[in-house]
Amino acid sequence: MNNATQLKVMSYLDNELSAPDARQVAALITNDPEARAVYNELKETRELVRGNELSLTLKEPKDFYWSQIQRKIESAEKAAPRRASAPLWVRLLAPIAGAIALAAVLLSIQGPQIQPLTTHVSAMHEIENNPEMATITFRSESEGVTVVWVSSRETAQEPAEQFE
Amino acid sequence: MQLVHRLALILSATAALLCLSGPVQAETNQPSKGPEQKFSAILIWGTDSAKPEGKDLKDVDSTLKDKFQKIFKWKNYFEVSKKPFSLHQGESHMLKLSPKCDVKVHQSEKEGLEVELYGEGKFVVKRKQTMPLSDILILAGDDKNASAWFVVIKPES
Amino acid sequence: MPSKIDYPTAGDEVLVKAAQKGDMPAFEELVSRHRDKIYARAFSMVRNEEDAVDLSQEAWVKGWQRLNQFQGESSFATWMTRIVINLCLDQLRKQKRVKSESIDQMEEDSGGVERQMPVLNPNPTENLERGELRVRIDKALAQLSYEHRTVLILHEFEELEYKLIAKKMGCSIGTVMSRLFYARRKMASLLAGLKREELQTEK
Repeated sequence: MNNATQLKVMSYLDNELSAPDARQVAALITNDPEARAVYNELKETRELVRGNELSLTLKEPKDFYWSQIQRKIESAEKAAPRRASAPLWVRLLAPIAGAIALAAVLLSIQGPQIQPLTTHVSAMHEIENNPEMATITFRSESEGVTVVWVSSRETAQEPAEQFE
Repeated sequence: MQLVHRLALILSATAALLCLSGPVQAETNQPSKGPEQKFSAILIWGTDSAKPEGKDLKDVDSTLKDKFQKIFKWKNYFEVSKKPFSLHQGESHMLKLSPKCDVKVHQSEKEGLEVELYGEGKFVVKRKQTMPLSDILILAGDDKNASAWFVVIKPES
Repeated sequence: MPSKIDYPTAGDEVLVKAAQKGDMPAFEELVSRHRDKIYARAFSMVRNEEDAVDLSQEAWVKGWQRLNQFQGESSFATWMTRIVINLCLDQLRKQKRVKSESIDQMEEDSGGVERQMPVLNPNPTENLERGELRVRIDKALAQLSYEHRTVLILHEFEELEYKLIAKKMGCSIGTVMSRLFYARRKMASLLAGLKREELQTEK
């Protein structure tokens, strides 16, 4: 029996086949001892594993475990406004090594090449924006480019994270 | 959120990108004086998708494209429109880069270069810049379908 | 004035609703109820106690942050399990446990072990207490590569279909099927070996 057929037998066991394919495999299992043996083995293994997951208990005392979680939540909430801009920066920048190096230059707070212009406001580098919008400004000395990225305040403060 | 949606429509894939109409409107407040500086205002669309067929999109100038590829994450950049203009001190230019995207550029003695961006007639952002402009200035934001719009003010020699 | 909740006796739904309004003690009660399960899922995937504790705590933090996204489409425990699974998958990908994977991968690709071995009866329950059996099965799981173990966990314990497993693991459905087939046959081999060992011990 080839591998493709074996996988079909398994798919049949897991109800992953279409009705016509399922009928075909059911007939194969009935008529072919080899297919039937594979099916039975897979089924027994599946039932054995499914029915016998090991239960584990956390060794850490409840209070201690919770206090660590609570501390992390509080720490995350304090850091949230500063961290909000980070995902936007990351999203903007090209995901290649050279660009990441450039991103490090852009984002770092070391050295004269770094121009975090959102904090360095001079008379000649002012930004005004619609109150519903937020801006992030950055400059690449090597590229001779200044970028003002405009986004909705909602997006800037709570970057969307898709969770399933 | 409504404004976000409106701004996101600035570069909606079809008609907005195609429409290059709109004459340059020079609003001169006072007699020109001082040196003239030449610029281009360019509207660029960044996307990971291939160039849509049937749309009048040009390739971005290679030097500018290199810079974009180093800085931004999208695979492709297309020029939607490009408007050259020049400014003397005290002059303003209002440029319509697409039916929903207007840029006003003003040079004042004290404030330097001011660039204002409007989306569907609504003010979005204004930036003041020292003169003469040496850096390329890019105003940008997210567009729908994970693409982005870029308004480039580029000094020309 | 909000009505007082008796946290230990309140149902998960009540606690979740309260926590969604910022009631931290309600969330603490949820953690207390489900922490073992979330930890166990993390451990089954990463096979390291310290990492599993960290990942489970991270999952709870994320659960708190995303609580308003929970709409009751599944049980709260299932929702939290999904969070910890995703964190574990991220961690495992970062750690790139290449060595053990490559051996299994080679066998899987060549169709070595699972195609050539005879069909087995993997059920060794006759001589084992339930608890001991579970320990043995867990040890057998630990011998799989992380990719094979993960696909087995997601399918057998989380009852996810092939398509969703493929999405979570960032691979094709065909790859999920190959891995699951290999994992099951390897488990059968490991557990059948157990039975032979038990029989020899009896003698």
